[in-house]
Amino acid sequence: MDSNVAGSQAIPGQSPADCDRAAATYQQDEPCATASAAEATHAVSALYAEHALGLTRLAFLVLGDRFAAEDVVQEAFWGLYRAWDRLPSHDNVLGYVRVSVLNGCRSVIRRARRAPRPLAMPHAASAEADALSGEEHRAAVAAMRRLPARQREALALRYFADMSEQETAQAMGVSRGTVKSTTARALAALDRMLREEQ
Amino acid sequence: MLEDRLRTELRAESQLITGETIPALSLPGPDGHRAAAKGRRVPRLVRRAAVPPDWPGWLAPAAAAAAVVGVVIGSLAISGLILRPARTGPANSPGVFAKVPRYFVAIPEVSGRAVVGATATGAVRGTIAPPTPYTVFTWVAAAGDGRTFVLGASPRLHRGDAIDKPRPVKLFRLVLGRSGHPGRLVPLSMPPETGVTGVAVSPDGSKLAVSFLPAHGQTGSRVQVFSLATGARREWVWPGRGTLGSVAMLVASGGLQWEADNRTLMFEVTTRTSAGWPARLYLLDTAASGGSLLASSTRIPVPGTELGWLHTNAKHRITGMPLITGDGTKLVAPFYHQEAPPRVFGFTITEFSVRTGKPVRVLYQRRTATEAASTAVYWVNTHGTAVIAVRGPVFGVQTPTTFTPLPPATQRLFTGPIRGSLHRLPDW
Repeated sequence: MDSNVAGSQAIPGQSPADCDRAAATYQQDEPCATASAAEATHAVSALYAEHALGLTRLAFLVLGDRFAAEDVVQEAFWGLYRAWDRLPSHDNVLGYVRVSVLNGCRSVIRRARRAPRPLAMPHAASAEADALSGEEHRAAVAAMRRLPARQREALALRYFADMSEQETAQAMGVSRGTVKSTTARALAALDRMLREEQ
Repeated sequence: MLEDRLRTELRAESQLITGETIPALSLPGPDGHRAAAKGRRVPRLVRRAAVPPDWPGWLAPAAAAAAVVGVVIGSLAISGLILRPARTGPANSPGVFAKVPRYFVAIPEVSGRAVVGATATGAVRGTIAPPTPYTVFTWVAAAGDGRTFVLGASPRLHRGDAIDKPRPVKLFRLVLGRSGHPGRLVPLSMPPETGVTGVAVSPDGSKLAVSFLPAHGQTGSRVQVFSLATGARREWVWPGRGTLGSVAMLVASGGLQWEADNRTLMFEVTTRTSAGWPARLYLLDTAASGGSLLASSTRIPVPGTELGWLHTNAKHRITGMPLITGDGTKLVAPFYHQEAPPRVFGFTITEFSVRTGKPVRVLYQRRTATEAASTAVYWVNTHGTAVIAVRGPVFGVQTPTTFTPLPPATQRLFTGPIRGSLHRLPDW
């Protein structure tokens, strides 16, 4: 497990809609703790320092774009800061942020579908990342990027973040059964693609 | 087992993101507004080249603006000049393709071989590997003869290197045979350089212009023009702050472009101000002796409100680096305009007068409720009657009356398996 991604540490964030979805997805059952802006800044900054890398890696695996991933994570933490006083509990804010990050990834993917402008704006530094990954051809990762977003999310959470089916279900806001079926379909599709490439 | 393999590959892939490259967190300031985060990154559209560590923040607005893509319709100010949308179709395609270079060189976004292809058919004429010890092509620039190209190559990044670590660029000349088959990559005499921000070959293939970031410890960005025959070099230095090269849009030349006279070089200077990142276009007379880049140049009067990225023009501006026609009379640029509410995106390919800086003709326009029709320009002929442009996801040849998509076989050489990605960067 990537210690920067999984776990149950405290603290919350993202665009208002994504934050609301995150709050709705991640059920908190602890009493509310009020924090001042200074406390929120300190707590969010500390959480960011500890988990930004892992969450950015998670978003990168889902999106395939390092800068979009960084933006999503930044937005998630910013949203956490804004929502800090409204959170019913600060016991598992990492889970909250993770949900925000996944929601942010979905937003990025939706926007990309609406505005496919591939040729006008390729990501230069993504190319650098591609260059690095190209040096050690990772066929399974390349194939994973051709899967639907939900399947990529499931695989990243299960096999990168090493989350259980239940944890993955909570992060994705779906049932455990959906996680099982989504993961199974994704693995089957991956297997098929890898066989075809051989 | 597939799960284990996936786990291993995901772990390895994730290592491309390192702690050193994670931007600082941006939290709201005391006034409730979001603070600017030092080192904050946004999707960047700049050419992949040696980039100093402090560029990301510098690039943020430009990239964000380019992310908005295109700014259109020279707005309503030019509405009277707008022509009817050009016809799209394959009619007389061979004739259209005769107006553009027969061959292109496309460098891969990943390490690997560059591809030489035929524009009209997509036939691959050959591939070229980066010469050892270089592993990735970082630049490609075409001369105007359709045969001569200059490619830049760099060594690979090592594990743990910041993704933006400046890397040396070694330049090579490539000459295609009569049928487009690539010859040998010949190293140019210049030593590998770090901090390259633009590369352009003169139309006759005799001179090479390269722009650089300021030398270490200095402030002036530089342009050097080399004779490819003798290696003789002249240098001009921009007085004061400002970066040469396009930072708002990926273009093969990085923003440097020659006119057909093989003497006049267009370049763009971007500066950082409290209003944003305004850019200005200049024409350098390379016959002048080296020295001050400003003193040897004349400005193209395109309004600063339409170039670069300003806080006031995010919804209305030229996006990317305009192309200059070979005769030096016109600029061809992608333009973007957003109206709200209701939100309408307008995308055009617009001609501007070099003399006045004003829009004179719209080659293409589309108003849409989505951003899917964004535009970009890659090549223009001497008089601006043919442009290799991108409309939405489609490469094609734009004339004042028609748009002819390049064949699917050609487009497949540029685009990657993931929609929205450019697989190879072409230059003609």
